Amino acid sequence: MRRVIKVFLIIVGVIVLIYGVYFLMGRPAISLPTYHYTVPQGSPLYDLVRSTKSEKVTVILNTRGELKARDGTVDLINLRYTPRSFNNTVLLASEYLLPEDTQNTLAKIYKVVPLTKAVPGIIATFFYHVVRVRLTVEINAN
Amino acid sequence: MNRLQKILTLVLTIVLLSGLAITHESHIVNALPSAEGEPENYVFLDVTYDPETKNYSLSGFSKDQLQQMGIPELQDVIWVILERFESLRLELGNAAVNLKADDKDLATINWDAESRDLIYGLLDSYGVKISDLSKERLETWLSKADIVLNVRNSPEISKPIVLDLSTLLMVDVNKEGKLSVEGFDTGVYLQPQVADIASSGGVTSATLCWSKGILNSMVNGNALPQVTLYQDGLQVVENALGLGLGDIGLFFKSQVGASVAFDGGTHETMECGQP
Repeated sequence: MRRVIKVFLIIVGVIVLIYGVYFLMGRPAISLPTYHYTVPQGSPLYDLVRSTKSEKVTVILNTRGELKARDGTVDLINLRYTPRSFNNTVLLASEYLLPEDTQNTLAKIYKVVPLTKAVPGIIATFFYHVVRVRLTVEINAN
Repeated sequence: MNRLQKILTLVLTIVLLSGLAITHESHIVNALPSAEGEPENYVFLDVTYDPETKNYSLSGFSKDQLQQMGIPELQDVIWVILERFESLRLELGNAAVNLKADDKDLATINWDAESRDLIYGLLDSYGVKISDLSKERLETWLSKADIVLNVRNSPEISKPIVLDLSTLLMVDVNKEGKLSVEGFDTGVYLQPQVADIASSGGVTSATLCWSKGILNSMVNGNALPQVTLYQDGLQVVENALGLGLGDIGLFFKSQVGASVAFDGGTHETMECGQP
């Protein structure tokens, strides 16, 4: 039993140490591999991507609360969020995007377990405050 | 055991430090409120007219464009007055109204909240009914007003409108979709689809503020993510989709916002342009 506790504490210690270093470094966003997406001709995005100088749009999500779209080095649009505004958007979008049956089921779940309503916000909070990642999507038009 | 205590202390320290950092980050920075009664709502309207060709232009729009918007032709009596002047300038502030003709002072009316109240009473007695809510809102606007109307004799197209408003426009939409602004009935009805979109999402109020490229919004009092648009970026979208936005630079010099209440909902307020 003591051995199990010892192993557990070592694992916790290593995690804490790694996170401590990450924290002391200012919790920089961890870059994930870039995802490439080619917009087919006829798509509403096609004309938009083709009209940019670099003929590609780069969408960068930094879970620190920033979503931006760029054309080469020129910023096109920037969206800044907090876990709260993210949660508000998800709840508002779910009113419009989810089918009525799904909305009714969710309403029942929220009634029984109110905490579930905050799940998108909790996930956003984790990636906003604790571990930050950067996801890049490069959109090209063929 | 000593080692266990050390690990626990380290864990606690990191958790505490994280907590402190998070609390520090969530501080909201509010803009310093300006002194009461100081002008905050700036509007610049430029009008040009040419008595020879009977052409006129308002805020960057030509006569043809204005007529397409339903603005009628100027009557002859107005042209008779206009051709006597090279320029007219009306400056409406929180403390005075100035009228200048050909760059010379013509008249000044000093006013304050009390004297404006007398004007509302006078309007009432002439049959122009203004509700108490409208008077209150009118006073909110006039106590911070810095409005300039510049009318000049010139064949060129007038300068675009400049809006820098810190006060949100109060817009009400009733069940039938009827639109009123600052308590005044506009006689305009929203398309039924717009009212349907609001009711299907349970939206009772929406607040929007555009401030020189930054768009803040709230729905039912809940803040949504802040959107920043860039002039170069918007130009790319304009070129691609042909939205017909006209002079894009103008949007990036303006600040304007509205608080919309649907079917008797409450109006929410927000700080414009705040990060």
